[in-house]
Amino acid sequence: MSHARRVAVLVAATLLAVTSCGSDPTAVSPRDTAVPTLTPTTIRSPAPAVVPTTVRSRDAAVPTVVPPPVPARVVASAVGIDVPVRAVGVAADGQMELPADPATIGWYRFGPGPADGQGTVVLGGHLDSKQYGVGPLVRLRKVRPGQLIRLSSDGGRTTTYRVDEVRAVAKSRLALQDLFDRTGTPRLRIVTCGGRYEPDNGGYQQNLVVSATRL
Amino acid sequence: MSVRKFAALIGAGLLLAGVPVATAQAAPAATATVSVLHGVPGATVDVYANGKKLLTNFKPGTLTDPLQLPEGDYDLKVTAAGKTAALIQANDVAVPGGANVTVVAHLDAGGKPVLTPFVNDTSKLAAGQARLTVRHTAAAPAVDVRAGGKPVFKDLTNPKQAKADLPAGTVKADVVLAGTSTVALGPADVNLKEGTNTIVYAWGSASAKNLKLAVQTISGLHGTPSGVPGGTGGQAATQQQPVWPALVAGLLALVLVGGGAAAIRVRA
Repeated sequence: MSHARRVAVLVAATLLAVTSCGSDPTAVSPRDTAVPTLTPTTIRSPAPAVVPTTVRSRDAAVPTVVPPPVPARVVASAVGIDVPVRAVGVAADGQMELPADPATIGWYRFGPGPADGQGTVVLGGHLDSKQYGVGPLVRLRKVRPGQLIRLSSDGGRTTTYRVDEVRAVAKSRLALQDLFDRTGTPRLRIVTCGGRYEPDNGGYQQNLVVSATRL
Repeated sequence: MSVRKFAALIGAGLLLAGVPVATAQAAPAATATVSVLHGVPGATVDVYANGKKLLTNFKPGTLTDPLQLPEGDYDLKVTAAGKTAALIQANDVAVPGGANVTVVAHLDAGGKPVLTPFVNDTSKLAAGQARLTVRHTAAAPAVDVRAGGKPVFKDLTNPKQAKADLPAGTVKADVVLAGTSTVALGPADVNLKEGTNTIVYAWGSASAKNLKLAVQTISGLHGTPSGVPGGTGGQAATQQQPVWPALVAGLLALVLVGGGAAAIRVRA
């Protein structure tokens, strides 16, 4: 390859890289294949910018509210966990709300549910309580990768997940954005507590997180 | 509406809303997110941008998907479907990069078709919250918007908007003539889904008795809980304690008891 030619190829490659990085400004949807035209942004052109060729539209009437399936029971038979699930939201302090009774586990109802095509179904429960004593989630720490967890919904449908990881994380370092991920692979994460109990320092010092992928 | 006035309206709207051109989350600074809502009753239209047909046979009460448009000035024209004469025209409409805008073709308070750009609030919400935005784009007098029978937004006039961040959930919403309980629209169950900006438009004409509601939803504004609590008793931690301290304590007790018994024996 001659020097001049190599330079030309390089330039072309660079241009390609430049035009392909970032989102295509003219794209309406992934299906749109319109070729972008580079318009200098500093010039306000009178007959300027590219206009997309295909635009989808839909009826904007008030949609009917169809409630999605709600998880009702979670079973990890390998460790003898079989507990009812209750839909929960956000507590007054901004943390995920949990059922007071450690024998019931909470499902974060604002995040994905088992029927959703993406994102993480988050279940959380108390390990123990002054009022109710120790709950079944104490056995979560015995869960091992490869074991199955079944989540049944109020409609009777059951979703199965395979455990990838069981991990204890310092509460202060729990990756919340990742835990409550609403996109990506459909997963189940069950969160409870672990580590030392320090009554004067917010109780348990760790979160135990079981991560499982939908089968 | 004059062209200049229209452009100024967009500019003013964006300024007022404090749209941070460089810090919008998803779009690079050089593109804007633009949706178009058709709220002129009875007219199926075509929409042109810079002389090129953008929408064909666009029906009243429909909303486009959000379009990513390069920032710049646009000449917009709305015609009756298949015709070329403008029903509504607006030239040199400034579309600034980073903004999320809905352009609404609707009737003004007097019943004349106009185009109004509204800036959509896409700032993040706290976990568990939803944003409700209401827009008066109907040929109708001032209204109150009620949720569950209670006025939430008062004295809204065409083409104004109002918004609030509320706990997510379904509200029964209706529209009444301002300061009265005369229902003009609704009630309708509106789902304020967590992490979304649910935008409700009143459109149509009161005198023609074709007032309607339209809904646009912008998702992905959700926040995340600040943590997950996990135990309030501490008993499970006690259960996890190694066995030897208990053994030591037991032995110690035995020794003490034994010692005590020995002492008693000695005395006896």
